[in-house]
Amino acid sequence: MSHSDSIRAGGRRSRRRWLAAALGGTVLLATVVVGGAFPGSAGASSAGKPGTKATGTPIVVGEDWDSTSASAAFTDVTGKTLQLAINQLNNTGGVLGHPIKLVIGNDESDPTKTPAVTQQLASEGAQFILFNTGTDATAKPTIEKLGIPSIGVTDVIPTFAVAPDNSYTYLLSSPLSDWASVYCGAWKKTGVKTIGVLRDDSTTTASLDNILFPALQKCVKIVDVETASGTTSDVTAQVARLKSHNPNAVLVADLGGSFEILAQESVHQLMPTTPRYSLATIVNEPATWSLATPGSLNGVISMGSLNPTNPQTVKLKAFLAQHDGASYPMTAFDADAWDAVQLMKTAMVKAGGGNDPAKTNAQMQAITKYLASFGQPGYNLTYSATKHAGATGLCGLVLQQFGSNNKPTKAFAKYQPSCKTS
Amino acid sequence: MTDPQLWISAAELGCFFGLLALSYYVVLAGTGFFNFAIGPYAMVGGLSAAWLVLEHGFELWLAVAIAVVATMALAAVTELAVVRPVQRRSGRSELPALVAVTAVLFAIEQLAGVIFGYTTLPGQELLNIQPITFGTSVILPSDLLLGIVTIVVFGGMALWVRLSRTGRLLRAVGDSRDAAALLGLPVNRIRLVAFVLSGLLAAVAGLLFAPKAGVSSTSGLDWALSGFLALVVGGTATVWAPLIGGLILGALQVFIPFYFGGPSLSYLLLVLAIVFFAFRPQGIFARRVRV
Repeated sequence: MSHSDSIRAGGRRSRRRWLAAALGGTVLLATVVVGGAFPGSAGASSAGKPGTKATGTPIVVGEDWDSTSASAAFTDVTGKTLQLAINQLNNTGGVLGHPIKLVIGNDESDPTKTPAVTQQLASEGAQFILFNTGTDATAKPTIEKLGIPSIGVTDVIPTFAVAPDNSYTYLLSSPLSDWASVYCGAWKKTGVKTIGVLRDDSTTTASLDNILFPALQKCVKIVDVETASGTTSDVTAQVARLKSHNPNAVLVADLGGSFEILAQESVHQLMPTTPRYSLATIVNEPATWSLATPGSLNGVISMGSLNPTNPQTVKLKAFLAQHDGASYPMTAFDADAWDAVQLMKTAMVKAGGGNDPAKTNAQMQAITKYLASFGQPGYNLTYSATKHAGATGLCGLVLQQFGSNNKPTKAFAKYQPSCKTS
Repeated sequence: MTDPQLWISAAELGCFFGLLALSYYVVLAGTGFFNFAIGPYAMVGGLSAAWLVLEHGFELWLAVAIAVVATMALAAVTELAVVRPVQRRSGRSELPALVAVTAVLFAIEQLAGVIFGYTTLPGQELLNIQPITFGTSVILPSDLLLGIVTIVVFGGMALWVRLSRTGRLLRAVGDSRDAAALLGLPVNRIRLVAFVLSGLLAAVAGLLFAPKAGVSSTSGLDWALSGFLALVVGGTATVWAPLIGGLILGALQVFIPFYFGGPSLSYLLLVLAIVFFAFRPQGIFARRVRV
């Protein structure tokens, strides 16, 4: 190559390098601009009318919020309402004049990460921890060591609130044993004697099933259990195997989200006359309803906990409508989040402030007959030194049924739980 | 095995994996390089269209066009800003560029999560017809469209690679970059064409498959692995080989769980991958060179 050729080649290379950089920069810039022009909907708006804003020294509260794994289908709703509730609390005087400062960690519902995130929240000064994740139970030894009162906001597995290491841990939602009682009641009423189960392979689902299945087997025979990866794109094979066992009903058990929809649609296609039940509280995941093809969720019966005749539910719904619009589909996760913050506030106020976790913890155990924002009218939560799960009966649960518009339109007419203690 | 719905699912998965494998094939044919970012490209195609329609009210086909163009641009940036500079600096070693593009895979996933959020969005139905039912089986509009487009794309690619000048140049550059450069062929331009074309194919695959189970920012890694395995199984002898590999993989994904249960799928796919890597790394359809 001649000298002039090499200069020209060098010039061309330099031009191309600049062109590549310019193209890359343009794409990156476009990405940031587009992403910035259309911000995601994460983050709740600030709540409440400006009133007596709390201005004292902040009380740090930690939240372990899995906002990135498959559980985000329900943790996002919970997280936003937790923030909304805290904003409302701060705008109306906080805890005896002290605002709550929320610090957030993310364990991605990974049981190996939950203890570390808990420790991290404590190191940031958390005096109370709200767990919005699928793996809160793995943090119990760490919580016990740190002595920080903690609530598993949407957790339904009793493990978090029972010994060992439960001195500082609390639950709101009705335990799985109550779920089994409600499902059994519904199946007894509708003549279901055999069920097939389709589930994902997550550790959370496995934990749920280990507790639930023995309870369910007291009233039905589980003829087949099929498992598929939570990230699978197809469950036709699993549903075909379920179909071969000819169950009276199918129960879909998973973390919710796209797997639940895929499973329900596949069962609808291959077993169109078989009643379908959902363990995944799909009724509380409005973001997933649009994933379903039109009409494919019609008839699905799902465990929920919202009764429109509960005055506390009505009050919360009105509050949420003020901030998220009249068409905001309130879910049990909103109610759980709201009540978790109110319980925390109650305990902190009775303890004379939120900076003494031991006193706050003692006051958590003294909360009785707190009127819940979910369940049937009058349903309340009660705690004591020996009772760290607040549920006080089956009527914290409501079986809801989907309509042809792929939305939960009514309570399941054939059966609803009574308020007898389980 | 006689349930037609199982075969419909297998064909649907097979067509999707085949399109992803074709994306790999195009880059491999044009550059001799495995671009593991194919899966995230497909994810960006499906997810960005859904996001534009659902979150910002874009008209469907405008959103699709933007999604395709964005994915093609992403592929171009991968070549210009990552692969080419890394390969230039690393001489003949392929490993640094493979590592770099694997980092690109994760970077795209993270960026997608930040921009589009982490919840799954429903894929957009591009064909507005009623599902076709026969007996107890159903062919959804998205299944039908995916099948038709797959045949058209593979047929078009086969003709393009064989008959067009750029297609022939693609094969020439892929066979030997040094020889092509010595002959004065536009190596860098062909490489760029290969990447952009793979982005287009991946975007189409993502758009067509997204309606099946939705699409999220974390879909890319699974899709990258599935497409790669389909290419390994099918081979690179012809343009149609990735489709054969995809269909075989799709059938395995349906019939292994059907006969052996859901948990067996991961193990048996791992065994399949090991068998092919160990005994037939060139795939079922291997290119033969006369000497």
